[in-house]
Amino acid sequence: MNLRRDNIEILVPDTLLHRYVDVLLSRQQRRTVETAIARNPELARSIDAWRAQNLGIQRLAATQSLPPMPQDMRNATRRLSGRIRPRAGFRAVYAAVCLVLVTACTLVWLIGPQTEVTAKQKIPIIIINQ
Amino acid sequence: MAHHQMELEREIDGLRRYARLLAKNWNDADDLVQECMLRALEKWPRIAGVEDLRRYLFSMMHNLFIDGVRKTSRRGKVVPIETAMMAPALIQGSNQDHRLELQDLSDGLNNLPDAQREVVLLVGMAGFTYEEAAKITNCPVGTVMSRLSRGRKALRDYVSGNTLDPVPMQQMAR
Repeated sequence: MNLRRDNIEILVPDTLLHRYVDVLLSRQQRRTVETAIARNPELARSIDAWRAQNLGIQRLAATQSLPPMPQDMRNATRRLSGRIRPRAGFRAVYAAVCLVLVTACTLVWLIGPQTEVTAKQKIPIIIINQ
Repeated sequence: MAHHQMELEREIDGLRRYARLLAKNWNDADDLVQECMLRALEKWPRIAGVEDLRRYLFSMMHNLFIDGVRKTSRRGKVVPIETAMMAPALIQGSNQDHRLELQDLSDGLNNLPDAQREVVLLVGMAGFTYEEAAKITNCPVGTVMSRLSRGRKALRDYVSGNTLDPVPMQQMAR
């Protein structure tokens, strides 16, 4: 029996269709699904409906009238922020201490030989007469 | 760390909107978010090192939601009267048709079993991949996909008028 290529129905698993709607397919997989959709209007309708659902849910979430944040939650936010800030401060202090240490070491290294000569000059010489 | 702080503050509004659709009313939603933040406070040193803070927060919220559902199923649910009174004010919109469509969608979501609604929201609203949704809900990817598939079908049927039998409110099993 000869089948015309155009009449062959491509079976696409449901999971692949959902992944297509949620843009989670590779280019190759996407092409396969698109070919199947082009040949099957029912698939195309399902895809459109699921896409519309996603958009509707996003719009529903975005258009919710968000009530003012309750005081308890505001306090918790403040407390959480408070935990974050000391760490930021600690890092700044740590960086400053490191900078001071590096600067001090460099200075010691630069002026170190002079200090050594001065020290040598000051070493008392003891002559012991036998 | 300032990055973490900004990230957290930005997430709170998103979490509240997600929690509202998940829990179906603002009281329960804000309780969930509040609990979630308190837990984040308790576990802060561990969270500070987490790569994907957003997913972590959603995961915490999932666990809290499940705990809440279990407690409610033992004690019975108390619905605040203002929830019913304020329900139509959920959606702010300019266009009457759009508002009705969104109201249908909202009702449809409320009629889904919790597990299906959660996955539909995680993927459709919060934009998580199936693998991320599986980690958040502590179940295999296959389960996430089947919940999503059934949830979307039921939602489509509801919105188009082919309403299926109402599902139990606190059905957490598949």
